[in-house]
Amino acid sequence: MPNDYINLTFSLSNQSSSLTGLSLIQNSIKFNQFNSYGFISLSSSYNQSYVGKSANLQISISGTNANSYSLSTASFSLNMVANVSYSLSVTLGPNLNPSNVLTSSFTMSCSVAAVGYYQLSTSECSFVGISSVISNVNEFYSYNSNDMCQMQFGVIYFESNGLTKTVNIANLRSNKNYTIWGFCQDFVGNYSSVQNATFSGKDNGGQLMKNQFTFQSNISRTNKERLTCFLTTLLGVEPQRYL
Amino acid sequence: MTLHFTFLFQRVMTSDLVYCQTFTESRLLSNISNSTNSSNSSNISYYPLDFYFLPIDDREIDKTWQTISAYTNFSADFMNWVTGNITGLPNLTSISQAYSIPNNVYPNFSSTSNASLTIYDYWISVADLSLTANGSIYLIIYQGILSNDTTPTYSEIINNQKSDGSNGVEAARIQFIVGINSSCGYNFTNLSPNTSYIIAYFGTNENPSYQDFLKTDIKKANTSTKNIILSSFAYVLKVYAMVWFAWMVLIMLQ
Repeated sequence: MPNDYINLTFSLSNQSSSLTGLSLIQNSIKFNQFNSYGFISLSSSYNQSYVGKSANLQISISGTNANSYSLSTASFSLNMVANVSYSLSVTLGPNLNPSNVLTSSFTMSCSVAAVGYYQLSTSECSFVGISSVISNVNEFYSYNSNDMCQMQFGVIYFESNGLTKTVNIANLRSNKNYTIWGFCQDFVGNYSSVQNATFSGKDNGGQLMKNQFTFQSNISRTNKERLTCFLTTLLGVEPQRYL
Repeated sequence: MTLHFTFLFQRVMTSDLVYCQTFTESRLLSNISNSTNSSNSSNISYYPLDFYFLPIDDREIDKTWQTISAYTNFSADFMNWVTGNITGLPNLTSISQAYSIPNNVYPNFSSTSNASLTIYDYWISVADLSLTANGSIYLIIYQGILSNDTTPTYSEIINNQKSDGSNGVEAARIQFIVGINSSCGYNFTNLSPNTSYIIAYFGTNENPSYQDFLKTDIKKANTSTKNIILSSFAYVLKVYAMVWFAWMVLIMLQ
């Protein structure tokens, strides 16, 4: 894994004269400590006469640590094949009952080689939409701390058709209801429908407690806060935790 | 990649939502809880303050409730410890034994409880709200009419936001305690005359934490403030009628 980014840049060459209109939608992938997978997309207006024609895809490497890496293959031959129809679908589950309070797992599969995305949220949240999920998977995501809705996102790579993968999830909370939304995007950009599944988090045995302090005069907000800090510390709970 | 949830660590809270925090957040809610209620006996005033110790939900096992129960079981020692560690507090007369309160029973508005609205020129009084158990009632008021309205979410009501993300006029929280309040209400002031408003509200259980409480469905009511001209005219007419009536009484007495 690189400790600084490297860049793979792609280019097309030697296109058969009759194979026109083939182009790279995205011509580079940046890898870093957070991103060890990637894909590129090509587009072409399909024409039956293109079938059997080919082009070369060249790959070059650059970036701060480029000299530490070498490519085993610097070019690929792309062959145009007849259009294959398929249905893209996603399956979640089957067992969503967590065995632990804070962690769990679910399975996800895509019917073809694709990238799977998911949104995991407490039941107060709605699905944020396909584009928002994709834009959030590699970003730090923080919601208003006063918001009951809390969510996290993830991405899974399905290198070949019909793979089922187990997705480990963490940072769950006791006794919360969760919904997972999942969808797949194949390597030409098609999306499956969005599937969802729900599960209930385990109970960690905590209880809501109440008691009353009685004073001889009114207590100020500052003193109330000092008292809550004292009691919070007493319970061995840090006052506030940030990511 | 797994991203982390954001937690707000407000695990000890007073009944008026004060908790230990590094940064002071601006409070969007007007708070009219009963935390400053006092009783007077033998010329000594008593100011009770309720504390809630919330379950710690990011641990595999949470037994902190046993800890607070054990501490408060020895009330006198605990009181000495508190006063010995926090200087400048008002005189502390007692600390009650901490007890567990239900945290899984959904709240309900009392069957007879529908918001009763009294309208004026610049304010609307909401009354007759009650819950079947201890809890809180959150309210928001914003301009609009019911037929065109998309109900704001729970979070939006708490944060004084309409469903489109814009600000409402005002949001409020009322604490409801069975046995102390038979019903409760709130006055929304600083409104505009002759304007249609929607009031959306919901109840929660006694858990004071935004992220943890259980809640009722959201209810809505629609009303309009009075037209200030008509209202002023009615007032003048009323005064005139009273003067006329007094004058007639005087004439009859003579």
